[in-house]
Amino acid sequence: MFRFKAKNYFFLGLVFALLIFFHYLGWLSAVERGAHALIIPISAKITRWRGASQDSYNYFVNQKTMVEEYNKCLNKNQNLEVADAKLKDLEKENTEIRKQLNFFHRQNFISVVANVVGRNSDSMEKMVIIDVGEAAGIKLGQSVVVGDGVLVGTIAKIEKDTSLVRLINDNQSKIAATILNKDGSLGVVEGGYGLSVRMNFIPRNETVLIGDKIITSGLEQAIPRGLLIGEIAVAENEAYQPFQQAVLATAADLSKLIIVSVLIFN
Amino acid sequence: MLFLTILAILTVHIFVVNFLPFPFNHINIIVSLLLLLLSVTSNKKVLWLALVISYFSELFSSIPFGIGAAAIILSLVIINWFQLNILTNRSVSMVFFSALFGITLYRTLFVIFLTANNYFFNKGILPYKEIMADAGWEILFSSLALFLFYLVGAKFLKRLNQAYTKSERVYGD
Repeated sequence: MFRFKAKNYFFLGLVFALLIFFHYLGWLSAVERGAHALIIPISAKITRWRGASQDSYNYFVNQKTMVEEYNKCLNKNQNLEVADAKLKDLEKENTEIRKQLNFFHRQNFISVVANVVGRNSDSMEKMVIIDVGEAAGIKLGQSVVVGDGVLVGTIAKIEKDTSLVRLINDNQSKIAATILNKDGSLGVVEGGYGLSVRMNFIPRNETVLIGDKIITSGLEQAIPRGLLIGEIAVAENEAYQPFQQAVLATAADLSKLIIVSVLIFN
Repeated sequence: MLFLTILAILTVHIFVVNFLPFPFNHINIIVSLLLLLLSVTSNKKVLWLALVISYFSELFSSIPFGIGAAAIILSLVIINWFQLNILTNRSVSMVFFSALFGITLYRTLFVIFLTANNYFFNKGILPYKEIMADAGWEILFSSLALFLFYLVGAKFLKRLNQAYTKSERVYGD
């Protein structure tokens, strides 16, 4: 323990204020780029170890569950192949109808592939750091997807060569979404405690069933319609609530993101 | 040496946040280690170290720049005052209470600054319920981690050992 003199407090405050001031002026960008260049590779390495260790852990600890899941997957895969053939046929038909009726202009967008190199330094937020930034044309609010259009988050902060992605299970994430049920129910997908993802503001008179798919509604400027978010795991329609809620099972495992794509509108 | 200390603390923090599963990834290594250093060292450089580390850690956060650093430095200054005037011995319980109080104070200041920032810049209302849950995990696990660091350290380092620090308090300074 030590006694800090008033003079030292003054200098500490002054240096702190100058650091903040110079940061916002961009005068410390060289130092900050250096820090990024030093820390990001370490963070990327740790992220990769995490992915690898999680896989090993799941294999050795839950081997029985894994075998069961694998058998389930095999069965599901057979059904999916049939569904896929039907879907392709429907997609073709749908494209043709859309062309003819000019009902909906399909939005063109290009994507930028990025590696996940770390997580947010503050545990209050569920974010990942990706290795593309302003230089690659990334902008705030753009959607971040994995696989064939599975939404995992949106861009929350941009640096020159890195960006922070706010995952859909973050407390402050809010995504306009629609349920693929007969009513086409609209709502807002929000994160909760970093553990679950909920869909709120679903009208009470609409039918929501477990297993219904949820996609982005396209009501937000930077997020196109049709990105898969997940499916309904639990539906809650309480008499005293003005809206019904649902807990979602996300389509992507948000704790194992390695490579993602950022969608950039043309 | 300073550079290596900063790099080591940041690396350990990134490791904990990235590698450990929930809820252990809520352990705030930066604040815990700084509080430990503040409790056991008489070196004035701790606050300057806190300034530098919090500055670099903010580069990897989406929170408006300066909020985390301000919360860390202010909470360390307040804890230092408490250790000098109220929690004046270096017993294990003092370290535990300092940790508990320090981390709670840090997170409280952080939320206050963030609320003020959101209010003045017309951003949305913070999800306080969720923040409280996250902060709860962080306070619990970070305090326990710091307590363990201290206990393990006391076994191996003279500086942390109560027997030595007590005699220093009577005859030293």
